[in-house]
This record gives sequence, structure tokens and C-alpha cells, in this order.
Amino acid sequence: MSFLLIRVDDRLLHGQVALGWGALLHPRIYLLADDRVAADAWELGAYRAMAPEGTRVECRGPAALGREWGGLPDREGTVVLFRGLSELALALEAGFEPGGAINLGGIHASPGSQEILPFLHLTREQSGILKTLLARGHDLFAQELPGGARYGSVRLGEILGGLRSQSGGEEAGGGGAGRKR
Amino acid sequence: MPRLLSPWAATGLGVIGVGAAAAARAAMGAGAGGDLALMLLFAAWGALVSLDERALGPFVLHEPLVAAGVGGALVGRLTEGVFLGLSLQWIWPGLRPLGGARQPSAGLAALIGVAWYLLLPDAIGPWRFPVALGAAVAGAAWGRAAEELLRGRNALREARVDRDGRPLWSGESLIAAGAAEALARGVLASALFFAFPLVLMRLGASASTGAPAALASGPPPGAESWSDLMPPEAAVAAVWFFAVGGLLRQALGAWRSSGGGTAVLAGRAGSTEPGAGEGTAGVEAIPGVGARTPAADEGEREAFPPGVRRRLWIPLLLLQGGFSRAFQQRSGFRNLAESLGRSGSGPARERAVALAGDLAGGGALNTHPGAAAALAGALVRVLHGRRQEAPERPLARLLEVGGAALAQWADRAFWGAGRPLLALAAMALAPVAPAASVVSFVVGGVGLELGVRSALWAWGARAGWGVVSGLPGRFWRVLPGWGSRLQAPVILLALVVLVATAGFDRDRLAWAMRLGWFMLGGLAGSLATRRVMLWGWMCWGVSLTAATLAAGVPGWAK
Repeated sequence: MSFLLIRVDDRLLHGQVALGWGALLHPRIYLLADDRVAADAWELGAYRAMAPEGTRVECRGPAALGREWGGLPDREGTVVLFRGLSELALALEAGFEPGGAINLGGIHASPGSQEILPFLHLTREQSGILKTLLARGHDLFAQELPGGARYGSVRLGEILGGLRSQSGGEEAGGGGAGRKR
Repeated sequence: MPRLLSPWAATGLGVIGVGAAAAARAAMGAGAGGDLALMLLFAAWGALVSLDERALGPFVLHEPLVAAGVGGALVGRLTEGVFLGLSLQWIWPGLRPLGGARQPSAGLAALIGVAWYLLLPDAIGPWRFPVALGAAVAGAAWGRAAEELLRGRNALREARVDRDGRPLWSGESLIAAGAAEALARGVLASALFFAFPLVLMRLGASASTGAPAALASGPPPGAESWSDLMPPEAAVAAVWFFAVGGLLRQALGAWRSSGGGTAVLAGRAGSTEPGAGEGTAGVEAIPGVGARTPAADEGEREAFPPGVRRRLWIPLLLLQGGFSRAFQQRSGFRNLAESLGRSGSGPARERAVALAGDLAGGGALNTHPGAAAALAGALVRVLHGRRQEAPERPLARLLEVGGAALAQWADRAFWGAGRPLLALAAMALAPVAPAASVVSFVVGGVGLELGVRSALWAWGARAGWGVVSGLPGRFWRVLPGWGSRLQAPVILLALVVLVATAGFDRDRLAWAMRLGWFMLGGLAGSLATRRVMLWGWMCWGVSLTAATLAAGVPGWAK
């Protein structure tokens, strides 16, 4: 049984997730897989307070999620949100099995990062993690919102492989592949 | 340089451009010189529309009905402008995504459509409207691509500032540069999409027929109803049907996703599950969250420096001007923090300056522009409040976490409920009172949007850190849901008004043809979107066509 959506987004739960994806998928649970939120009741309370009505927000650290995911209730109604690729990798190392494709939805600029797509900026370390995940056969796709351009594993691999030219998405739209910030 | 690049300068340039071109047009009248002035007038209005589309959202200038209506009014053709804008207003809302995705440039598109409609040579005949519509749609796609480019330029500029640490490039400079480029986008769109092609077309038509090359000196099309602008050709009818389908989809989507509204009506709200979206569950016990802290409840506040609120409105309104692909609203919030620093003194000023410094080298920030007013109020409270609540976390966390959390509510309130309702109400009014629809849209839009932002500011200034726990009280939390639910009846009302003012009595056969094409448009549209809509659209088209033809048989209509 797979999760409704597994997404990597540095803002975790926000408008694009709750309204953009939420209106399409109608999740019942948003599961934040993040150590920082798990350790901070203030921040968890903020996310809980602003969650759409009819949904609830839960939180686990990535490693804990990797150990406990099999016992989670209502997985088919759950959207799992990771803050970054390292958190996702940590959960996978700990035993987390996605059971479906993983959405890369928003990793924005940070010192030393490179623009891979308009909504994906990766440091060298993050690029390495992504390459490893792809090499291990995980199914990943980059897509900001439903209806937006979708970049599948093959395309992501090509971009990471050093493609420097402008490139369109697999479905529609365009993106700046491999532009150096 | 920073003074030169003040956001006021960018806005003022656009206003002066419109005023100067309008004066030139009035002085020269129609003819070659007057037509040049007309082009400049449209270009200047396009620059303002572009700036509004990128930054000054609350002023609704970029809504198609307003952009095209004012564009038409500027050249003395208000009715045609409104009808063109109405067509485009029907098309775009159903296609607009929630959640902050890049959208087609509907405002620029509407202006381009009006320019084409008014300036096409007479030889175009009944294809005047479809060609104008096509140019508008192409312009919308170009505007979105240009927006993407400008967001990339903003990101490059910010990255360069990060790398070089240029002291002159303050947050205000970054915002102003973004705003200036938004103005330039409008001028460029005008040049590319109507000035050059239409002048060439006019000159070509003049050379072949010997007629004068004046651009807009011909007689008005003489439209009495919006349907007079629509020939019964397949392309136009299909586009309209597709648009209606989009609106119905919007109504259904709003109904489905508004959640809270029905839950309240049916008495199903108030889940007792921990954190189940009941809003405040689980938050009351969080220490340091101030929405319900004694300081807020006692109404103790202020000690803000005089004028701080007035000074922050401009940075708030231009927050999106510096939106960048990489850092999103970071430069906008940096500008806000710098303004707070300038308006404060002592420890408050030091905190604001520290926040601006943190943001300058920090990561991306984003929220709904309306929610930024609440965050700004909260910052003022935290920085200047008498009680001086000691922040347990860096102030940037207030913007980061509060921004993400408030974005959901604000997206739904502003883009999911308020703005669509305003647009739909204006659309229902447009066929019967074109001028009133534009005026009501602008007045209602500015009043409502600025009013809500003002209320959010006031709430933020009371709540301080408490803004991250969301709006207090059930009413405010479910209000956007109720607004979404109102869309369906208002859409139906707008459709009824359209049908009632369609001029069936003038040409029944043309209307039957239009409706037949509507069905094919719906078929194509449903195949392109959702099959489940197919039967609804087909039945709707068949019913209206049958009703139109049946009405003609017993002579109900002339």
C-alpha cells in the first residue's frame, strides 16, 4: 500500500501543497518527516493550526519514519513531506519504502546551490544524493504543481549528467536546466 | 542610485507615461500623429498593467475586464474594450491555479486584444474579434515566459549581491529594479504584439487600397450587445464554450475544495482529533505563541513610532516586484526589514537591521502577498511593542514559518474566494452596464483587498509571534470556504445575464450556429481536460440550441 504523495519541499506544508495538490488528492493526513519540527512544539503547532479543515498534521523524524512507516494508519490518505533530500535519504536508509514515485516539489536557493530547475536548486552534496537515489532505482519526478511541467527520473538523470542546454518538460512548459547561479 | 531606483520612481514613470500620451492624443486628434500618440498611450497603460500584474496586485489593473475596459476608454471605445475584456475574463479565471504558480499574463493579453480589435484594418471584416482574441492569447503566453525570465533576472541580481556584498544594492534597490523591469515588459509587449505588426498591416492595407493609413479613424463597429462582437464562427464559439467549461470547473472545484463551508453548514465541523484542522487545537498550550497571550488579550500594544505603518505600505505593495526564481520574496522582506530599521530607534532598530542582514544572506522566503501584511504587523509588534516580547527564535523564523503557514489561508481567501467573486460580479454586470462593471471592479477590488490587508496588519500587530498559529476564531478560518461556495451561484447569475443579453431576437440562426459550435468546443475542451465533464457540456449545449430553435418556431422571438 503506497502513500498518496511523497514530496520533498523545503517549506513543508504551504499553499502549493495544501491547495494545489490537496485539491487534487484530497489527503486526510499530512505527515511532516522532519527532525526540526518534531523537536519544536511551536512550529508543529503552527503547521497544525493552518492545515486545511478535515485534515490533520502529524510529525516524525526521518529516521523514525523509516522505522515506523509500516505501522502507520491510512497510508493511502497520507501526504508525506520531507524538507530536503538528505532527510529523504535518511528515511530510506532507515527502511522507509515509498511504494511509488517521489515528488521533488521545491528546494530553493542556498549558499553554493545550482539551479537545476526553476524550483530546484541543489548543492553539490544534494546533487550527489539525488544521483545516488536515481542510481538505486528510486522513481523520482520533479513537479511543482499539478498541471505544471513534469520531469521524470530519466530527464532528471540527463540534467544531472551535465546537460547545460535549455530544456522543456516532459509534458509542458520549460525550465532552465543546469543554469549556474 | 538607491534614491533614483525608488519604487515610487518606477510607478511614477508609468503614470506620467499614460498622462503624457493621453495629452498628446487629445492634442493631435485622429490621424497619423494622433495614432502615434495612441500607440504610446497603449504602451504606457501596458507598462502600468504589467507592473500591477507583477507587483501591485491589489489594484486589480491587470484583471482583463479592467485592463481592456480602461484601454478602450482611453481611446474613447469603452464598450468594445469592456466586451473584449469580458471575453478574456471568462477564459482565464478557470485556468488560474491556486498556490502561487506562474499564470498567463491575462492583463497584458486583454490590452493586446483591445489594441488589435480597434486597430485592425477594415479589410479584416467579421474576423476582427477572433483575430484580436488570438493575438491576446499569444500575448498571454509571451507574458508568462517574460515573467519567468524576469524572475530569473531578479535571482541573478540577488545572487550577485550575495556574492559581491554590494552595499548600494539594498532591498529597496532590488525591488525597484524588478519594478522597473516590469514596466519595461509592458512596453515591450506593446511594441512586439501590436505596434509593429499593426502598423505594418495598416501600411500594407493602405498601399493596396489607397485608403488613408490612419489607425483608429474608422467608424465604431456599432456593437449593441456583447454578442454583436462575436461572429458565429467556429473558433470564437469554441473558445467561449471552453471558457464557460473552465468557469463551471472552477465552480465545482471551489465547491469541492472549500471544505469548511459545508462542514459548518452540516454541523460536522469541530473534529475532536488532535490537530484536525479545527484550528486552535493543540496550539493553546504552546508557550510563546501570542495570539491568545495576555499581552494580546489585554489590548496592550503600540508604542510604535509614528508613521511606521504608513512607511511600510509601499514595501508591502511592491513585495512581489523583486520576486525571484531562486529566493522568491526574500528581497521584498529584506526591503520591509530595512524600512522597519529606518523607522525605529534603539534596540528596535538594531533588531530590524539584524533581521535585514540575516535575510540578505539567507534562504528563500515566500508567502501570499496579502499574508505579508500580517507578518509585517507582527514584526512591528515584536520590534516596537511596549512589552518587547523577547523573541526566543531568530526573527527570520517568524517570516519563514508564519509565511508558509499563512500562505494556505491567504491563497484561499484572496485567490480562491475574494478575487474570483469580485471578477464574477463585475462580469455579471458588464453586459448591462459596461462602465459600472469596470468601476465596481476597481473600487471593490481596491477597497476589499486593501481593507483585508489592513485588517491582517492590525491582527498581526496585536498577535506578534501568534500570527504563526493562524487567525483566531472559527469565523475567520471558514470565511474563505464560504466565499468559494458563493462562486457557483454567482457564475450561474453571470451566465443568465449573458444569455438574457445575447440578442437572440436579432439573429436566431446565427445563435443556433454558435451554440452548435459551442458543443464541439466543449467536446474538444472536455477531451483535453476531464472526460467526466463531457456529458454535462454536451447536454448544456444541446439544450440551449434546442431551446433557441424551438423559441423561433412559434415566433416567441422576433
